[in-house]
Amino acid sequence: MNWLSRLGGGVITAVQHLGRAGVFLPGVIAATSMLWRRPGLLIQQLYSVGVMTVLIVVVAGLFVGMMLGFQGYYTLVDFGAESSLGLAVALFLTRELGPVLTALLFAGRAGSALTAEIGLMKATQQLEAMEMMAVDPLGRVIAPRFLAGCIAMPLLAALFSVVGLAGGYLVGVGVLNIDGGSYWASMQTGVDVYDDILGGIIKSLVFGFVVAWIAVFEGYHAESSTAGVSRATTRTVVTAALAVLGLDYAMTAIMFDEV
Amino acid sequence: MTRKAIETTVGLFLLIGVAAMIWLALKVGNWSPATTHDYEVTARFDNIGGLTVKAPVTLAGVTIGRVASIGIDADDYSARITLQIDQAHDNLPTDTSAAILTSGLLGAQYVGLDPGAEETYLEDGDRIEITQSAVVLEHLIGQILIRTAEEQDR
Amino acid sequence: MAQHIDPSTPLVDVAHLDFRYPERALYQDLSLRISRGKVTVIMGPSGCGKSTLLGLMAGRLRPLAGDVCFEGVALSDLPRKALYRLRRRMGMMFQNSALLSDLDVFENVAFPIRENTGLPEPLVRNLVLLKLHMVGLRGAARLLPAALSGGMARRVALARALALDPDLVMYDEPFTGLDPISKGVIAQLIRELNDVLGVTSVVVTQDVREGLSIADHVIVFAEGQIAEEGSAQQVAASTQPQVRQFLDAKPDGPVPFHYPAPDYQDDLLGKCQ
Repeated sequence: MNWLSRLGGGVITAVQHLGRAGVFLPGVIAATSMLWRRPGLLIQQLYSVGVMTVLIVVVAGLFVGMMLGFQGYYTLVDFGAESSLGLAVALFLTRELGPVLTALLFAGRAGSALTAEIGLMKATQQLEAMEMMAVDPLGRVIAPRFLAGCIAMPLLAALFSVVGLAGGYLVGVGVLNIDGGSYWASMQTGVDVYDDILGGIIKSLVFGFVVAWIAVFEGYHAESSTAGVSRATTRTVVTAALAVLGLDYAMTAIMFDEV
Repeated sequence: MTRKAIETTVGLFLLIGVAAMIWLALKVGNWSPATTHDYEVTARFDNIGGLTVKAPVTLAGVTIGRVASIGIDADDYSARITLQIDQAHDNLPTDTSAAILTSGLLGAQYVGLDPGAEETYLEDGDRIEITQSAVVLEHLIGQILIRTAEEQDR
Repeated sequence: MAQHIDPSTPLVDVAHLDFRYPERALYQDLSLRISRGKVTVIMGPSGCGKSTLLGLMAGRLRPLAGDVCFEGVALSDLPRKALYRLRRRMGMMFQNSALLSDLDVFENVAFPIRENTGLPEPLVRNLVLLKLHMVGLRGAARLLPAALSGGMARRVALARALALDPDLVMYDEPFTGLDPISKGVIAQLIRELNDVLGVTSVVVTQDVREGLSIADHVIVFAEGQIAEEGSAQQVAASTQPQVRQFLDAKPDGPVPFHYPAPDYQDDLLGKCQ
């Protein structure tokens, strides 16, 4: 019976956690309204959340695009359709890999940093100190970080896709000698602005929202100790990655249904 | 890092990100913001082969529009396609002909327009009368085989 | 506003307070008063909930029963906005200073001023330099908190607590972890700033010597109750066994040396589960 009670206990803890995160969210969203008066706070966070993630996104996007160039070529060449390589790479990137891989990188680079930073501020009583100085930490600390995550993520995903397309071009045209013109032209015939591009942007918006939410929640509710902060950071990366992949499946299924 | 430098890099980041999105929409998705500046004409074909919606419509090799829809004419069982053409090219003569062509031997199919000599121009809702259907490879090969056989018989 | 109030009424009035954490009960029916313009020192062994009391006084924690009144206003039924407004009249110095680590010393002291007032920049600068000068750290204005020693960080925290010219300043363990010189400096600062600025100070500490040296009024806690109360001399002369054990630093007494455990011999023989 021991494992049964442990299972039940685990489920109860998970549900409690989810409930707390749900209660936490409206307060954060309401607090973002104060950022109209303090844009400087948001800019600061856009720097540490967005700009600092650009490098890893660009490098990863380039490699993924180059990999897609090779893989797409070897699949398509059997059907004599290697001139559609651009289309294949573009669809892969804009529909799936751009939003999903960027969200995973974002969770690892920016999400973990957010959780650790907020958790440490809590552990060192900085958040309490703000409350005592009549400053709401939700507005001053949490809201700008959350909003910066929501804004930065779609931009990073678009950047990833663009760099990936360039990577595919390098391999397709530079290494495999596909015609450069047909690489770009084939995209335009097969990529739909609404189904593919807009669908990808919606995905990246949702991912940004969820990853930022998880990151600030875990930080704000971290146990006030070194071990607690490190546990919260790990939880952010694991939960965010699973949430992104699960949501990606759900959204793909919904968007697929509509076509 | 000074405040100014941070603000500048953040501005740059936002700019590049938004530019990447717009570039994806325009260049990859081939989105034209001014869709209202198009006019539509129809054309009937006996066979459209592998033509698909959104295939380019070209004039002298230059893309001036795309295929908006593909359907069947219930009266004579021919294929009826609607072409969406940029308003900038509103001076196509009424006796313009349309042909379904293939880019390369196995490439994607598109609609090629060949302007006529009439003084009046095609307008929204008009129909292109002179059309040339797609070349279906199987038919072509069949014809070649028959001809070869006939030559050998002789 | 403050002038119309009789100076003999207490600034903070804690009445019949009940509070407990999920694991353990802390207070039952606790009542105490903090008089205006005085340094009140609250002492007691660690874990007796002294810091929790400060949290209750600031309205950060809600009592289960009873109430804390700040100048006659009950904190527990105050809406959030009014509570935050009231907190501008309170300053708090935290045990580990709790300086904002991404801001330098100047900005840390400027933080409550900037966030709560719309004062122009030159005035903010003057105010901050004044507060930093009071604690002797004007020269360290551009250092980051990480570059400060423990004693300096406490002094910056003190300057920050005083930034909005509060009526009530709360000190959570101001002496813990400091060298004797820094302890002396902090003790002197608390005493002098209290007298010069006319604020009311509440000091929570377990350092007997420094605590008694600056106190106008001393409250000694034991087991969630007030064990002794009075002036420094009265408390120092107390015969209460719990107070004596605490003041004389005796290892064993009413507070046992051993955490509650089963019989040692039984434990060694494995008879206990």
